[in-house]
This record gives sequence, structure tokens and C-alpha cells, in this order.
Amino acid sequence: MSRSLVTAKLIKPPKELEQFFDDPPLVGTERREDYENFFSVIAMAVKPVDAIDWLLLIDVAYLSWEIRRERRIKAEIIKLRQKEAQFPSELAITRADFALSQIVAKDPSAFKKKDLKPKATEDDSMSLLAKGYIRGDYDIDVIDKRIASYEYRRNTALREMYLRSEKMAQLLEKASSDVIDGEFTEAAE
Amino acid sequence: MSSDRKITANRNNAKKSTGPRSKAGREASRRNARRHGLAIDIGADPAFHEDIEQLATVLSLSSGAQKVSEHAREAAEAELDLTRIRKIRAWLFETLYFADTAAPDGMTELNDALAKLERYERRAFSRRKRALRAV
Repeated sequence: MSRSLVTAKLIKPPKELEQFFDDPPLVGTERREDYENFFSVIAMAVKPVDAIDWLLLIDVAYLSWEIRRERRIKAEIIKLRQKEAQFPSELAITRADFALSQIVAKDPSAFKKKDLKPKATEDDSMSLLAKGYIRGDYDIDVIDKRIASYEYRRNTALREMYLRSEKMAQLLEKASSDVIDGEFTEAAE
Repeated sequence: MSSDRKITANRNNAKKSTGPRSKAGREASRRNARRHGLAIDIGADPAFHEDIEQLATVLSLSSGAQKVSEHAREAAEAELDLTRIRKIRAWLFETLYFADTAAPDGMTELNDALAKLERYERRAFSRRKRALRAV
């Protein structure tokens, strides 16, 4: 995540709660600054009233962040597998390819020359995308399941918020979705 | 609901399963709960006592209660459990996927580890939901 998501006035949970949530579990290149901006946009829209509101907001923000992370990883996997489909000679060391590379190491003639040629010219982008999906089907499926479970929990937290305040829940849902979807729409354009 | 016959059969079958028998097997299974510590009740861990009480007090005060209720304590425990699980998840991503030292098949290992974590998170989440409603 090299660029800032949004810029907002930083809003943090109240002091009595902050100590429990002052260290967001970020990974890889995720920046604390991005997470705090993301969180602030949501908190600014919702304006939680009490500690329970804050807990639910923290949940929705964190789960939305996780969904965003998983979507990014999924996109990377598809890209990687697309590349592998495009250039099969560049044997990436993955589960399936590892076995293949062992066969080739034992018997280099196992591959005919024509198989090693890049197939980029034969395939249009849609079929490459499809091949990317097929090659990464297991990982994509697992990630989709994880996204579904995060979405389920996010919806549960939103439902709990609905029981407390319908208006606040609507704002929470909209703000957290806007930040994620906005970014992905921007990325797709 | 299960029939009496089914319950009896289950009990009889359960008696046949006595867990690992070898010394090595017993030793390994003894460590199962300590792999990531999530099988251990957070409320029974003295390291979390203070945090649980503090968070339970915040939740009780926020709902207008005069003293800390059991529900608030349970909600605090579940919330801290969720925080702990999320930190472990981040650590798994970091070590098995993002780290330079991550294995080529790190994704598979990560997926397996995250699937195990999911069970604990689901449980903590439900526990907190029930407790928060009652606070």
C-alpha cells in the first residue's frame, strides 16, 4: 500500500479504550497512517456515542480493512497466475509447478521446444485472465471463503449497531463500504 | 434431538477413543493447547486480568451500570480475545506470506493456519455479541 487512502482529521477511540486498540494489526507494506485515515473517515461519519458503539465501529473498520487486504492478495494471485499462464516456461515454484520442475530436472527432454515458447501472442487477455483464475483456483477459493466470513461478521456487527441506532448503522455501513469500494473502483479505472 | 440409542452408541464409541497412547503422542497432544495459546481461556490467564477488568468497567459505565457486571466482564474477555486473534492473524501473514524468508508454498501453510484461527474468532465473536446485548 504505497499511497495514502484518504486524508482526514485523525480520530481515535476515547482514551479509556485507546489503550486496547492503539496497535492495529497491520501486515506487509500496510501503513499505520493509512489505517488511521481509514478509521477516522468512518469514525467521523458515525460519531459513536458510547463504548459499545466504539467497539462495533472498531470491528467494522478492522473487518473492512481485512476484506480489502484479502481482495488485494486475491488480485495479486490472479496476476501472478496469469503471468504463469502467459509464460509457462518461467516455472514458478508453486505446488503444481514444483512437481513439473522436478520432472524437467530429471529429464530435460520432457518438454518439447515448442512448449517452452511464450504463448502470449496466441491468447487474448480474457482467456489469459480465465487461465489465471483456473491456475489459482484453490487459493482464490480459500480467499473467497475468508472474505465471506469477514463479511458475515461485518454484517453481524452492523446488525448489532442497527439494534442500537439505525441511523448510526446506516452511516457505518455506508462509510466503510465507500472507502473500500471507492478505492477499488479507482484502481479498476 | 438425538435418540437414546444414538446417544448410547456415541458414548460407547467415545470410550473406545482414549487419545494418543505412545509417550511421544501424549507429549505432542499435551502441547496442542499451547501452540498459539488460543485454546486457553483468556479469563484464566493472569496476564489479561487487569485489561479485562478495565475494559469491563468501561463497558459497564457506558451502559449506566453502577458496578461491573458478569456480562460486561464476559464481553471484555471476548473483545480482548478477538484482539489477540487478530494480532496472531497479522503475525501469520507477516511470517508465512510477506516475509522474505517465506516458503514458496507459504500460501498453503498460511491458508491452513488461518482456517484454524477462524474457529476461535467465530467463537469469540459470538460470545461477545451475546454478552454485549446483555450488558
